[in-house]
Amino acid sequence: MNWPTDRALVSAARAGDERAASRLLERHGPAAWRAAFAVCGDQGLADDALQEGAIRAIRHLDGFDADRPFDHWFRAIVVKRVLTLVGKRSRRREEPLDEAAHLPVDGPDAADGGLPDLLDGLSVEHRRAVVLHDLFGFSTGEVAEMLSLPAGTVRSHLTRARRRLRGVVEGAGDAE
Amino acid sequence: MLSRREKRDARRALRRLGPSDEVMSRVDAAVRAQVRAMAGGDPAAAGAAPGGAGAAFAVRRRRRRLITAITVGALVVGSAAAGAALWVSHGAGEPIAGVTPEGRAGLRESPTLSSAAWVFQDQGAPHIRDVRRLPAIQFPPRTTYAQAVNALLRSVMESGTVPKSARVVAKLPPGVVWRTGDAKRGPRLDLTAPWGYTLPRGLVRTPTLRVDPSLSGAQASKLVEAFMKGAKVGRGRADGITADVPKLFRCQVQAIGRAPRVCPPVRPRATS
Repeated sequence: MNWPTDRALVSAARAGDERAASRLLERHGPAAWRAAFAVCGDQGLADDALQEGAIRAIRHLDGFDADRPFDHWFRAIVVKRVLTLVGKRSRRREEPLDEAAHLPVDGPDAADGGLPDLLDGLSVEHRRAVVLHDLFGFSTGEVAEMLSLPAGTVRSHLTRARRRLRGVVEGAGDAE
Repeated sequence: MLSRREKRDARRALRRLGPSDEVMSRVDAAVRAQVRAMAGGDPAAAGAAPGGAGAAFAVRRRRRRLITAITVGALVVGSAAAGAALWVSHGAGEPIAGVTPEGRAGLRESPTLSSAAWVFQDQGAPHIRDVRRLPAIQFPPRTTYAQAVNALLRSVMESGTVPKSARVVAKLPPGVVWRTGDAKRGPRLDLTAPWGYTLPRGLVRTPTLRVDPSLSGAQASKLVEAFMKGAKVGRGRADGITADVPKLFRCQVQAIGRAPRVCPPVRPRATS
C-alpha cells in the first residue's frame, strides 16, 4: 500500500496538491483534535480549533521546517488555536457556567469514566499543563509559550498535577 | 513524568474520542479550498505565510473577509429573526431560515414540530413558561448532544420531520433539555427547547448558524442567499453553513437514572 511520508505529503501540499493536504489532515487531524479536546474539554471548541488550525497550518506550510515532525507542529497550532478560542469564549460569555459544564455531557468519555474523570480533580491550569506535557509530548518551554506562563510556573503546575493524579489513579486501583 | 500506567490509561481514554466524520469532512473541504486558493494565486492566501510577500494585503483582505463573514452570519441569524417576526402563531408565517419547501410542508403536517417555539417565533424569543411543552425524541445509544441537535436541524430543514434515527417519546421533566443515555438506552432530546433556554431570563434559544470563515465574501453571500431560500447547494445542503452547538446549563441536563437537577428560577417575562 502506498504510504507516503509526511515530508513527501508536505512537499506535495506546498505544490498545490489538495489530496496531499487532505491526507495530512486525515493522518494527524484526529490526534490534534484529541489534544485540543483534552486541553479544553469541549467538543465544539475542539472542532473549531481543528478547522481553524488546519487552515492556518496550510497557509503557513511554507514556513514549516520539514526536518521537524509535522504532527508535533500541527498539533501545536491546533492547541494554540483552542486556547485562543477558550480565552475568547470566556471573555464573551454572558452567563456564568461552572467549569464542569464545559465537559461534554454525553459520549464515550462520560459514560466510561475516561479521561475527563481522570482529570476532573485538576484545576484548569494543571490539566492543561499535564495534558500538553505528559500526554502530547510538548516541552516545558513549549507549554509555557502556549499557556503564556513562565516555565517555572509550568513546572510547578506539572508537579502538583502529577501528585494529584497519582492519588486519583492509586485510589481507583485500591477500589477495584 | 506520569507513570507508564497513568499515561496508558489516559491515552486509552483519549483514543476513544475523536472528531466526528462530519467535522472531518468539513475541515477537509476547508483545507482543500485553502490549498486551491493558494495554488490559484489568491494573494490573501499566498501572502499569509509569515514574512511572505503581500502579507499586509493579506491582513487587510482577511479583515475584510472576516467582516464579510460576520455580516453574513448576522444576516443569517438576523433574517431568521426577521422571518420569525412575520410569524403568526399556529399555522401562518415563516419557519427559521434554511427550511426547504419540502420542509415547510412537513412542518405544517407535523403534530409536534408545527407548534415548536424554536422553529417558529412570533415576537422574538418566547419565554420557556409561555410555550407549549412538547414530547422528547430518543436517539440511538451513544449519540452525542451535538450530533442530536445537528440531526434535528438538518431533518427539520430538509423534511420538516424529526430525524429518521430518532423516535418520539414522552416529555422530559420540566426544564430538562437533554437526558443522557447508556449503552442500551439512547439519549433523549426535548423538542420544546432543543437548543436550551437562557438563565435566568428563560428565553427559548433558536439554532445559531455559522458560515465557514474560509469562504470568500462572494462565495459566502451566494451560499447564504441559496440557504435562505432553502435551495440545495453543492452536495445536498449547503456544507459551508453549519449549526452551532450551544452549551447547556448543568441543570438542563439529566443523567440517566438520576433525578433532574433543579434550575434556578427563571425570571418571569416582563409585561408591558
